[in-house]
Order: sequence, then C-alpha cells, then structure tokens
Amino acid sequence: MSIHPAGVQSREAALVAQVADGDERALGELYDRCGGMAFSLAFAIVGEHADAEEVVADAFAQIWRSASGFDPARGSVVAWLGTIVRTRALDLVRSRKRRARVLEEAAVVTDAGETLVLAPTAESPDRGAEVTEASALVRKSLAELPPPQRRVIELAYFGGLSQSEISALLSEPLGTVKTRMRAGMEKLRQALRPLLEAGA
Amino acid sequence: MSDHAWLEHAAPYALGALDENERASFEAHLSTCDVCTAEVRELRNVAGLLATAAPDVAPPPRLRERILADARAVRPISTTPTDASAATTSPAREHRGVSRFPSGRGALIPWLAAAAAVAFAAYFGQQYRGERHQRLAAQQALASARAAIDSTTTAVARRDSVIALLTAPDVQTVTVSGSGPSPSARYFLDRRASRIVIAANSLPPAASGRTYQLWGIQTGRAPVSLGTFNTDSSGRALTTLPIPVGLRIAVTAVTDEPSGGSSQPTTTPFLAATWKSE
Repeated sequence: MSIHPAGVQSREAALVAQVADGDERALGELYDRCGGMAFSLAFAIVGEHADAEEVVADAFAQIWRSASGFDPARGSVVAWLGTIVRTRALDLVRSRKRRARVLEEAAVVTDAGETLVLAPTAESPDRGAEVTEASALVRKSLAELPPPQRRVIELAYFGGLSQSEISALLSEPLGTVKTRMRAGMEKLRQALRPLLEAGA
Repeated sequence: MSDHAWLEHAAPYALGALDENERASFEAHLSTCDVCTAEVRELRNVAGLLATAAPDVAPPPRLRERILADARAVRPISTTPTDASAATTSPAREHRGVSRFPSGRGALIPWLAAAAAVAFAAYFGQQYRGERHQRLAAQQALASARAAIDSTTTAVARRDSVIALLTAPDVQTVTVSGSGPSPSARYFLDRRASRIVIAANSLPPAASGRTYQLWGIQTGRAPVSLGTFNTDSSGRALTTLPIPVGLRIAVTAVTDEPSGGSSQPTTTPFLAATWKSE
C-alpha cells in the first residue's frame, strides 16, 4: 500500500480505474494491497471480526459497483477507501447502538495512566508489503501527540463522536475538547506535511 | 463571527465532529469562503491518513474470495454510454410529465446493482445513462447523505417526537440532498413496523391538480406506491406511510403525479435513496 499526494497516479489509482471497467483481477489486487488496512480500520471501529468482515465486504462491493466515482484529483485511493470503510463501520455501530460499548472495550490505559482509544501500535512483523514509511509516519505522529489530544481525535475519527459527545464522555468542558482537537490536528498536519505535499 | 473564528471549525469538521447546528452553519460559510475551504481540504487529507493508523488486524483468508464472488454476481456500473441515445437526452427534470418507463433496454440494467441510486435512475429511463457527470453527482449526493446520517438523526429527534420514536435500534435513516436550495429529504425506514417516514425540505408544493408520490422498489420488481403527500407553503412535509406486506425495499424515491397518485410513476423520480438489505 502506498500513499500518494492528491493528483498523483498511484498503482492503487490505476487499479481503481481498471475496476471501474469491470476487471475482477484488478479488484483482487486492490484487495491484496489495501484489504489489510481496510479490515484493520473496520475492526478498530466495530470491535468484532464478523462485523469488520461485513463492513469490508460491503465496502469492496460498493467500490466494485461505483469505482467510476473515484476522482484522483480529490485525494488518494487510501483516503477514499478509508472514508467508505469508516462510514459503513460507523453506520453499523450506530445502528446497533453499540458505539459506547465498543469504545469502552477499546479503551486502553497505558503504563502512564493515560486512557487511549487505540492500543499503542507496535509494528507487526507480518504486515508485509502494506507497511510503508507513510503509514508508519502516521502512527508515529499520532503516538507522539499529547495523550489528551490524541484521545479526542481518536474518539472523533474511530468513534464517530461529536465534540459535545466527547465532552460528555470524558466529563471535560466542551471548550477543552475543542482546543485539544484543534491543537492535535495542527500538530498532525505539521508532522504529516511530507505526505500532504505534492511530490513528496 | 469573524473569519478567524470560522477557521476553528475546520479541524472538527474534517473529523466529522461538529455538532449538527455548527456543521450546518459552517457549511453555509464554506460556500462563501475560499480560505476555510482550503483549510478543510487539507485537514480532510490529514484525517484521511488516520485510516492507516488502526492497529493491524489480519482479515480472515475467506474474505478475499467472498469479495470476488460478490463481484462476479454484480456487473459494475459502466463508465461508457450503452447506446447512442443516452448522450443526447436532456436533463432529467425537463421530462416531468413525460412517461418513460421500463421497457426494452431499460430492463436490461442488472437489478443486482440496484443498491446504487444510479441504477434506479437507469431503470426509469435513459436520461442518466451514459451521462457521467450526472451519475457522479448522484454518487456524491449519496456519499454526502451517508455522511450526514448521524448528525441529522440527532437533530431531528430533538425537534420531533414522531421521529424520535422512529430512531429505535432497527430504524434505518437516509438523508438525500442536493446542493444549494434544491429539495432534500430524510427517510426513516422501520422494516419491523412496516412504515416509512419522509421528512422533506425545500420542496415547493406540487402544482394544482398534482401531488407527490413516494415509491418503494424491490430489487428486480416494478415500483410500488407507498402513498402520496404534499408539502406546505414553506416547502416542508412530514408524512408517515405504511409499507405493503412483503415488499423488501431496496430503493425509495419521489415523483410528481396527478392528484390521487398513479399506479406507476409517470415522471422522473428524485430524492432517491438506497437501503441496505434486511
């Protein structure tokens, strides 16, 4: 899996174009390159293997039906696929009103006593070709955020919670949540600048 | 609010974390502010990268074969026109009042692909077929509707006890909206209770002697009328309609019909929504 700046033709973008023409083999290769990321994202949100499998199967079915809707000028395949998977996973969790429970179960308390939404990620040795410097940078950048900032961003992205909901969940003032979210996203933007700029 | 203050909404907006009222006002601002639009675009790319940060979990080996088997059962929506007439038809709305219903080639569109609103349009006529920009617009409308589902559910439930009742665990919700002042609707589908609620906005009342009619479509079947409704002078309607026994709705949409409704749609459908299977 590679992450390219908007507008740059990646192998994934070429595959999506072939998928739009009904090329099953291209769909298989797209899955081989991005399926692990898609499943990991779905699992992070829904918290169960069977549900994550449904989400990813639905997401690739949607891609198969409507790959012609992908516009490389608007972002990478990874961002597009991530949006599809995240939206479907959050829909599933919401439809079952399980969101709070999923988040509760997913919460991790670190040695330092900080509560995180996602467990700290060590690079797993068997992820193979999918692990790129790019996704490693994303994880590193997220891990380097102050935990309170990281937590509100993860609750929003992986939990689908609004700022008010996060404020209620954490019993923190809304203004504090807003400040942390802005500050954290600004730090991520700086840290991920190499991935965001064309030609990187 | 100063532009500086608006910029503070960009990060939570990119994460989908603004509350409904803030989101609506920020989106209105975005339509007039290039600075905030650029900020949102970049922060959305930042948020998009978070997709790669989830801890690794290996998918089951069978998932790959399942995806490919599913794909073999459904033909993707082609990007090329399927016949010459498709390229010369006029925009959809100009065909109101003209009957264009499935016969011949229209019926060839594979109904397995009906989960896409695009297929719905193709079923009803040739207006959309081959017209890539319209299909993309439909797909974008679907995508934005999906993104809006949660926040709209929350807002509506607060405002309206009828809908609050319908946000029970089994109720599915879809929001369909166009850009600018065009009509929008929220559908609430309760399959267990066999009813559907449509909350329409910015939809001018039907002309004298006309009404709006809601249709439910089961994959591979002709549309079934769910009933008629009309909007008030402010362009709003909130109507609960029963779903006929046994109808497994895959798509819903509205048409403009003569008073009393029609047995089959006679104008171009709009406010089309697709539904997950039961």
